[in-house]
Amino acid sequence: MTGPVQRMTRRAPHDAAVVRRDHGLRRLRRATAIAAVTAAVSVGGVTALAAATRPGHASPAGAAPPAGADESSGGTLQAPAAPPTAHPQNSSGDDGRSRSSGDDGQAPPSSPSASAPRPQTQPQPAPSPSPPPVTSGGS
Amino acid sequence: MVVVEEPAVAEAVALLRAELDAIDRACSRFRADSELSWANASAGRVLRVSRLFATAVGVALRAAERTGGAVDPTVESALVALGYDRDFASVRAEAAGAVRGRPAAGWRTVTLDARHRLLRLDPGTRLDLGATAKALAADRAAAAIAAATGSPTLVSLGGDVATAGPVPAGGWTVHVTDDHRAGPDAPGQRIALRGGALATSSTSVRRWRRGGRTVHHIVDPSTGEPASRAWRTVSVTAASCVDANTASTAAIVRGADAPAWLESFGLPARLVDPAGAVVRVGAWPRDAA
Repeated sequence: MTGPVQRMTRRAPHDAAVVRRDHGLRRLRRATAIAAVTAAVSVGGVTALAAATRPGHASPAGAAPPAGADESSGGTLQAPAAPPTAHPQNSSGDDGRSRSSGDDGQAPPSSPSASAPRPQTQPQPAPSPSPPPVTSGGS
Repeated sequence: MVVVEEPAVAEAVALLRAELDAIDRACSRFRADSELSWANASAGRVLRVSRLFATAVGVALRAAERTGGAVDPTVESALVALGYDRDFASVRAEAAGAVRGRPAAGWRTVTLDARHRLLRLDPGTRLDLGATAKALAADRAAAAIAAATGSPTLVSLGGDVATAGPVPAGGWTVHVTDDHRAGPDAPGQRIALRGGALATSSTSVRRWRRGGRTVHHIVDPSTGEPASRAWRTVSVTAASCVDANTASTAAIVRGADAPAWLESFGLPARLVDPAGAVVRVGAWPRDAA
């Protein structure tokens, strides 16, 4: 069995430069190997990315709809389960001119009219106070 | 703002703060240490990103796809070119130099493998998630708070409103107007929201002047210029706040054909033109008498 030290002892002193060169080559090979692994990982990353997606698209996990949306909505923006309704408190319409687009502007069947009493599905023994109003506007 | 039943307030506030902190760390373009800043500085390289940032980018790409590119996450360079290059509170209200829009690189220059959380931006592409990240935060916070507390929950972030959990009797009262900072007497309409979400986009806020012209923050990605002002303000209700905000922003960008486009999705909406005339779409309610 010959280890590096034994080899060193068999070599003539003038071979010291050769030994240093061998060590240098080994370090270079090691550095090259590390660089190759890094490159492979990088290329692998690109390959995996290209395989899983195409530009501008996310893989299925990335395309998951946000909370509240139905995953079956496909390529649509999903409407709310219940449309908003008129609030009984008066509103201040912009300049009073208002028109409807699409349908005839009638409230949906599920929408109680502003003046009609709201149906009570079950008695409320201790009704909590109405939540305070919030504002939705540009930001 | 978060609205919940009294016993849940402390837990709700903590959950909301945690969500906002997480979104800010991931998605802010005004933080040098955010993942978004890192991604923008690393265009051309494949990055492994956090789960939250991958979700945020995925949501933004989904918005772009579903609006035909009207809401595009690659408008950062356009906004910077127009002068919106820092937190809006620090943007100068007026400056002499003229500015010109810069078309967005386009959402197809962004590649995301969300399963492995790998993201790559084409060289030159820079992200701005402003059109969807706030709404995503509202959706996530509302869902988390309702799940943790069981309370009816409403989260409003700068006018982007998300609800979760039981719906209060009579619904959630929301005053819809041009500016979310406006008081209850501002021109607008008061409605009852019965679940889902509501978002409002407006060209009457976040405006500044450059070279003698007024510009605003809703950019047409195809030109990089502020969107045409066919509509001053658009409010949309949808199943999620992300969808509502995606639709309201896209409606501003699309201009005249926005009502028909919103109608095609069955999204109740209220559009206000620059003169103040209101157009209702779908099941959006009339004003109460």
